[in-house]
Amino acid sequence: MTNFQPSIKLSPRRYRRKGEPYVWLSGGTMALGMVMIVAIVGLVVIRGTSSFWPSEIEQFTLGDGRVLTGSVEAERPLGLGDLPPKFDGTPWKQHELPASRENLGPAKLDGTPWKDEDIPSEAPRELLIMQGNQESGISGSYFTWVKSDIPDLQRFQAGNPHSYASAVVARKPIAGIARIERLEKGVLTGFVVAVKDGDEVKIAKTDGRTLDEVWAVFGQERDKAVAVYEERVRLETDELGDANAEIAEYDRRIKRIAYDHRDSKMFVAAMQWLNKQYDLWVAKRTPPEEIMSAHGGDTGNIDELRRRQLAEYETILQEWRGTLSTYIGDIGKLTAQYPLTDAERVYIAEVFGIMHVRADVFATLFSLTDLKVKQIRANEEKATFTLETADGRSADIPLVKVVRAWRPNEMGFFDKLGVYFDRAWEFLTAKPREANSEGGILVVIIGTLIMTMLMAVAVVPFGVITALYLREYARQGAIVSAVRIAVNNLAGVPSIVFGIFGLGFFCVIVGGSIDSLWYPELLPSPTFGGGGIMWASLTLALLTIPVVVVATEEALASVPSAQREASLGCGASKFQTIWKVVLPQSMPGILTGTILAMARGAGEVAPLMLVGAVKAAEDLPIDGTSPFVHLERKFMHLGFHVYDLGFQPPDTDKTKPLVFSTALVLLLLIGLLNIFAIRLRNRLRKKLQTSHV
Amino acid sequence: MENGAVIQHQQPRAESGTIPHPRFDFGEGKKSRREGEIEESVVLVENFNLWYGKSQALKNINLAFPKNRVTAMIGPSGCGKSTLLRSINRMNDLISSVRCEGRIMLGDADIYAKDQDVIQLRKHCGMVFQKSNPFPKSIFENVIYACRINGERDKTKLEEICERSLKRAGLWEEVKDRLHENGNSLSGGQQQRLCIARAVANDPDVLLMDEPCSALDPVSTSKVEDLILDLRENFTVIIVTHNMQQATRVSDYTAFMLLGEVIEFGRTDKLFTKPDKRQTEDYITGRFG
Ligand SMILES: Nc1ncnc2c1ncn2[C@@H]1O[C@H](COP(=O)(O)OP(=O)(O)OP(=O)(O)O)[C@@H](O)[C@H]1O
Ligand SMILES: [Mg+2]
Repeated sequence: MTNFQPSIKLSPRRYRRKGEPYVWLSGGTMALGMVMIVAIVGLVVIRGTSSFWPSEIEQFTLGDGRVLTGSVEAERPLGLGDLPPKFDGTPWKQHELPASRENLGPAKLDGTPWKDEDIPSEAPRELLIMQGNQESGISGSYFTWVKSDIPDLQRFQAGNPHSYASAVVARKPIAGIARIERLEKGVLTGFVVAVKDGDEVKIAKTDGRTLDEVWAVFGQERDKAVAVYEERVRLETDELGDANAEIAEYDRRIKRIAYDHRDSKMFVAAMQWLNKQYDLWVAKRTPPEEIMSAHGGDTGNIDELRRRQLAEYETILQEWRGTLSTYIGDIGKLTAQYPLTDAERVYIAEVFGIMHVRADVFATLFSLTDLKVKQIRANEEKATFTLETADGRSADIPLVKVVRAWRPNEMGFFDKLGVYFDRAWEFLTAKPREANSEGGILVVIIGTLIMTMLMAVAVVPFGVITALYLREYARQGAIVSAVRIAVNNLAGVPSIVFGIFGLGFFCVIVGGSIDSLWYPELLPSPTFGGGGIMWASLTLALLTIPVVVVATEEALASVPSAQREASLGCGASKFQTIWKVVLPQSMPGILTGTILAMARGAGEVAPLMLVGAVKAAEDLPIDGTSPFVHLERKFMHLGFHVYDLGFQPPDTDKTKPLVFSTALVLLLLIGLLNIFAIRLRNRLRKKLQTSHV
Repeated sequence: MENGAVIQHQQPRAESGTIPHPRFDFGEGKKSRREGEIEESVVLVENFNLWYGKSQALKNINLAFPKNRVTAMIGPSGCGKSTLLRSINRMNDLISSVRCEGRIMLGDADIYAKDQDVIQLRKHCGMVFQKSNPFPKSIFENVIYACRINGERDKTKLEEICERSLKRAGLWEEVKDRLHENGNSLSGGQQQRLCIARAVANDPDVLLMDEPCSALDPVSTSKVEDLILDLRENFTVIIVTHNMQQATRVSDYTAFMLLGEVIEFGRTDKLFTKPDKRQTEDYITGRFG
C-alpha cells in the first residue's frame, strides 16, 4: 500500500486527465459570454442615454472655405487607408496617431515650420455635424459628415483633390448661438435676434438690445404662444375627439339598423327620406366661417361668439326637434307613405332618436369647438421670432412651433443637465412626432406593456391547464409523449410562422367571423378582422405556450409525492389535492415560466408586424372613450419601433440615437417586468419553504 | 393463530343506534385485554395478494386487526409492511403497476369493491407517514385540512376541531400561541405530531402509522408513543415499526411479516416472550439473517 507517490512532473496527459483544461475552457467561455453581454448592454446604455445631452455648438471651417455651424452628433474613426502617406512616403501606422512632432517631419509641405495649432490632438476621424435649419431663406445641409484631425493636412489636401473639401481646417465655439427644437422640420441653429407679434416688433437686436435681452423676451413670448397652442390641442383632442367618437358611434348604430333592414324596400326608402330631412336641417345652419366673417373676421371675444352661436343653434335645434316630434307623433303618415311593419316602425323611431342626439352633439359641441379651434389656428402663428444664422441669413419662425430652445455655449453643467433631463423626460412621456423621428415614445411603451400583460393573462391559464392535464390526468403513454414533444417543438418554430398563423387564424378567420356576426354594417372596413392588440397578444401567447407548459410540468413534478399522499390520505379528491396542495406549491415554478414567457414575448417583433403592430397608432388600446378597452385597435410596440426607427426613416442620422434610447427602454421594461415577477416568486417561495428538520 | 386471543370480525347488524358513518358499522368494542377474550376486528384481510408489476409483494395475507387496539407490524426491510398498510387505505392505487387479489374488509365494507368510494374510505382510515409531511401552510390550516376538504366553513367549529385534534396529538400546549405560523417552522417531532393531529381531525376509525418515529429523537419518540397509547381510546391503530421495544411498549397485538407473508400474529406479550415460529424468535432476538 505504499505505491502512492506525489507526482512531481505533470505530463500533458495527466494534466488533461485532471480536468483542469476543461475548467479553464468552461470558465473562459463564460467570461466571453459575460463580456459580450456587458458590451452589448453597455453600448445600448451609453448610446441610449447620451443622445439627450445638449452638446456645444461650434463653427467648423472646411478646406474649401465652407463654414458649418452646428453640434457634433456622432463621430467615427477614419481608416489609415484614407490618409495620405507621411512626409517620407511611408504610410501612417496606427501607433503613430495622433501624430506627434517627430513623425510629422521637419516642416510642413510648404516649407514653413510646424506650429502647435497645426498638430491635431486626436486621431483622424469623421464628425457628423448637425446644422438643422430646414427653412426657406436659411437652409443648409441638415447633417454633414466631415473629416477632422487630419495629420499633415496640407499633404492630405494636395494628395486627395476630391475629398479635401470636407476636412476641417479650423473649429471654434460661438457665443450666444441657440439651438431650437421645433414641432416640425427639425432643429434650428442660429441667433435669436428679434421677437415679433404680427407686425409689431417686441424686441430686436437692431434696436440696440443685447442678445441676452432678446433671449429673455423670446422665452416669455414662446411660453405665451405655446399656452394658447396647448389649449387648441386640448380642444381638438379632448372635445372634438370625444364628439367625433360619439358621432362615429351614432353613425355605426344607424348603419347597423339600416344594414339589418337592407332587404325591406320601404325601410330603405324611409331611411333615405330621413337622411334628406337631416341634410336639409344641416344646410340650414350658418357655417361657422360665415358667423366669423359676420363678426369681422377674427375680432371680438371668441367665447362670446361661441355663446351667441350656441343660442342660434338652440333655435335651429328646437326646429329640428319639432320636425322630429311631428313625424314620430304622426308615424301613421310615414306608414301611409311607406308601409312599414310594426318592428320596422320601432327601428325607424330609433333612428329618429339617434339622429336627434347626433344632431345635438354635432350642433352644440362640434361646430362651436371647431369654430374656436379655427379661430386659434388662424392667429397662433402670428407671434414669430427672427433667427439669424452664423453666416448672416435670417428667417421668421412662428414661436408656437418651438418645443425647446437652449444656448449650450452659455450654459454651465447643471443647466445642461436640466436640458438633458427635460429631453429625456419628453422622450418618455410625449407622443411621437415627425414620423417618429422626434417627440417621445409613451404610446409605444404603453402599447408594449398592455400587449405583454394581455399575453401573460392569456398564456398562463392556458399553459397551466395544459400542463396539469399532461402531467396529472392524462395516462402517460405514447400519445401523451407525442403531445409533449409537439408542444416543446412549438418553441422551435420560427416566430414569423406564428405571425402568419395569427394573421390567418385570428385576424382572418376569427376576426372575420366576429365582424360578419357583430359588425356587418361596417364591412368592408374591418373591426376585428384586421390586426389588433388582442390578436397580437394571442399570437404571442401561442408562441410562448411551450415555455409555460414546460416550466409548469417541471414545477408539478417537483412537488414531493409525500405532499400528495398527505392530502389524499386526508380524504381529498385528486382535484382537491391539485387545487389545494400541488398548485400552490408549483406557483414559483409557474411564475418562472411566466417570467420567461413574458421576456420572450415582449421582445418579439416579427410576428407582430403581421398581426397588429404599426408604425403610428393614434389611439391607445385603453382610453377614456367607452368601452374604454379597445382590443381591436392597432398598437405601437417598442421592438417594432426600434426596427422602424433604424431601418425605415428617410434620415437615419436623425433617428439613430433614438434607436438606442428605444432599445434601452425596451430592455428596462423587460427588466422591470422580470424583477416584479421574480420578487413575487421569491415571496411565494419563502412562504412555501419546506424546512425538513 | 390461536395465539392468546380470538378475534371475531364483526358482522353487520340490522339496525344500530350509533352509526358513525353510513357505510361502516363496527358496533361497541369490548375493553378487555384478558386472554381468551373475544375481540371484534375492524379490518379484516382475507387471502390478499399484491403484485408490483410482476413481482409479488404480498402473499396470501390473512389478518384481523382488533378494534380499539394497537397492532404492530414488524419484519425485516422489504417484507411488505408498508405495502400492506397502504393497501388498507388504497394508497397503492397511486402506483399504476399495482395489481391485487383477495379481500380487505373495513367493517362490513369491501375496500376493493368496484363501487367503493376511495375518498370516503380514506376519510375512515387516517394515515401518518414515516417522514413527517406537513403542508407549507399554517399549523391551523394543516390540522383542519380535512375539514376544509369536506367544505366545513364554520369558524368556531373549525377552531374547536383544531384544538381537540392538537390536544389529542399532545401538541396543543406547545403551539396554541402560534397557530398561524407555518407548519414547517416546527421541530421534527412536533411536525410528526402535527401530522397525527391532521390525521385524527378527520375522526377516522382506523389510524395507519408507517414508522412514525423513525426520524425522531428518543424524547419525541416517547411523546408519540404516549400519544399512541392515548389514541387507543378512540381509534384502532395499526403501526409499522422496526423498533422491538417500541412494539412491546405500545402495541396490544403484533404481526410478524417475512418476504411478503405473515409468519405469526398474536398478543404482543405472547409473541415476544413465547413465539410459536422459529423465524419469529430469530428475528426478535436479532439472530435473523
Ligand atoms: N412502488 C413500488 N414499485 C415496485 N416495487 C415496490 C414499490 N414499493 C415497494 N416495492 C417492493 O415491494 C416490496 C415491499 O416493500 P415495502 O415498502 O412494503 O417494504 P417494507 O416492509 O415497508 O420495508 P421497510 O421496512 O424498509 O419500509 C419490496 O420488495 C419493494 O421492493
Ligand atoms: Mg416501509
